[in-house]
Amino acid sequence: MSAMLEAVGLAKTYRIGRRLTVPALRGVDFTIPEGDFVAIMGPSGSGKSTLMNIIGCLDRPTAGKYVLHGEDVSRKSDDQLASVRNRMIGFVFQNFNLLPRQTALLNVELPLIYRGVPARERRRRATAALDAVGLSDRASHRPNELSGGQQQRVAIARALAGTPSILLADEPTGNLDSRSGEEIMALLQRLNDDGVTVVLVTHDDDIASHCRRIIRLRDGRIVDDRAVVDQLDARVVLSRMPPANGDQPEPAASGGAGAEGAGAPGAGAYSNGATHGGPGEAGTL
Amino acid sequence: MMKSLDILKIGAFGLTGNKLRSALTMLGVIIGVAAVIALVSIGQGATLSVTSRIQSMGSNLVIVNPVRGANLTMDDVKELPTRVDNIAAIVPDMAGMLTVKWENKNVQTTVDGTTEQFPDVRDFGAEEGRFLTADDVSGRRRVAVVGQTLLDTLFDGNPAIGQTITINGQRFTVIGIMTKKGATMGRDQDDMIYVPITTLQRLRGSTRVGSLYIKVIDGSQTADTVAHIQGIFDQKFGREDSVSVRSQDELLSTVNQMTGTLTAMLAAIAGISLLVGGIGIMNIMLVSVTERTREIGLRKAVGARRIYILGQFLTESILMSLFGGAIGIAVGIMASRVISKMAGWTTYVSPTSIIISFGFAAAVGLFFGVWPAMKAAAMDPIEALRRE
Repeated sequence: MSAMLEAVGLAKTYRIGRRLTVPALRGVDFTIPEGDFVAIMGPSGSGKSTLMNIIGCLDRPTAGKYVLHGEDVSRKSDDQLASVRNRMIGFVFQNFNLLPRQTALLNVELPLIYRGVPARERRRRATAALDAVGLSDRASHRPNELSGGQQQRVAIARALAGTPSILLADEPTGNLDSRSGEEIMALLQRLNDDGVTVVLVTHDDDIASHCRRIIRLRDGRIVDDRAVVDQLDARVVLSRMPPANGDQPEPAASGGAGAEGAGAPGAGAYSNGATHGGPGEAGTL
Repeated sequence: MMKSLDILKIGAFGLTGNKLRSALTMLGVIIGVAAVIALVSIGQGATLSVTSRIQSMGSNLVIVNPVRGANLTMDDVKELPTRVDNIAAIVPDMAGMLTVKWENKNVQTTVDGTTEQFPDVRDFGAEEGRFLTADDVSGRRRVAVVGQTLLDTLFDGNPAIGQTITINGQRFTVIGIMTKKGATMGRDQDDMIYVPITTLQRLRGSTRVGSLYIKVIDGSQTADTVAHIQGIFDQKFGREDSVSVRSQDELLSTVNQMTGTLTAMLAAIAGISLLVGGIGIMNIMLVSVTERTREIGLRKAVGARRIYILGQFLTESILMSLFGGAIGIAVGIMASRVISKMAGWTTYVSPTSIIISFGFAAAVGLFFGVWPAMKAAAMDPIEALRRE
């Protein structure tokens, strides 16, 4: 697998006033191969957000090199970075950040507008992206007509629409109830299985253990970088949850629900093993 | 380009977010543009009506008005053509408001003492009956030619010619009716009675003449003629500028200058309100940019360059000023008509004033939209996304 993302000696120092400098990242090296699913963890103040901003090309490192899909993006101008973000990064935010007055479809089209994709092609790709997250029947709904989980799925569709090099998710389940959160994780896992490289920033161990690999930061340095031994399968977790209470479940869960049964790590946390109330049941909004 | 059209659409859509706010902001521009259109139409209407009034006095005219202490007499009227070559006709003018009576009706009207040359100089005369003759003037006859308005106000529609009227207690016979001239500048040109100046002088116990209206033969020589006449009177009265001698062109340019200043002043006052409208746009755009910080952050995160954000917000402010300008033009034209009806003033909405005020409105939207739009474009996406 080729490296999708390569960081060499990444450092970021914030300047406060004239004299005071605060180092947020003190030299970080890592490589993320194509198709990886990485969680970046760390307590607040560990440099986690700074690293995420640099990975997302929202910020530049003060030292070191950041290569994204073979392109050194560490010294680009603001507008060049905007173009890099547009082509290579798919953002998923904790608070969804959908445009409230636009339909789901138009929200998904947004990155394509700034890429200059013609309207017809835009619509086609956005519809396909909504389809991929199982929301093609909600294309003309506005965010306030959608549940939190659905809104986050629209946001993921928006991130996917531009076929980015990496999907960068910042606490994507932070604003969701555990079931909706699990559904989002199931969706991300499925996308990852289809080959999408996912970088997820979280402080939640449970969420992180859905990933293939966890990078832990502390005081601006990587203190731990290892593969997840017992990766949680969100579909299994979902199958062990109590039935959905309203929100329509993630359709992707339908295939594998209950297939692996017990034995998934963390599954013990959910005492109810019943699988009823599963996919396809009419959700009420 | 595809993208710029989409940016325009995004900007236009932004306006519909808070319709009341957009409408109120536009109202500032509407009032500004309407004020410019309406006030300038008053100024230009005034220019137009004064101009037409001056032109209606006749053509190739030179007007002599005495300045303090200088008295013009009938001798001047007789003597001037013998000394100045370029004079085709000359009439004295002596007007005053007097009480005119017919049977038991009384009206106040302007009685103008003049001579038989009046129709030659002023380009209008009697429509029915006849105008004054040289004999009327030299014989100090008590004859009168009445304007059309008096047919209603004094004679109540009865045949006027041959009737006897009383002016200041003296009896006059009506010998003719003037051609209708219409009203200019709110003054009825037909509410007049013309009598021989000699008769009027006797009536008022005076030998004075108010002013002289001179028609020149060759209009291109007017300037020389004016200087010549000025010289003659200055010599006669022994001082400079004893009389004011003005050609019609000079009068026109003086009046145009005055009404032009009036128009400019009105436009400036109205322009200030348009400027205030522009400040309203800037105010609302700044609020809007602050309110939509997260939206801006998101747009930047998904790849909007500075110029796209700039374009989006500039589109909003310019659209507001353009719509406001268009509606303002319509309101201004209506206001100008209403003013014309209610106040009886002549108003004139010129295409130039429409183009200029619309262009000014667009410029105001651009000028006052640039700063808020630049503020939006310069936002740091990280900070913007963090904002609640």
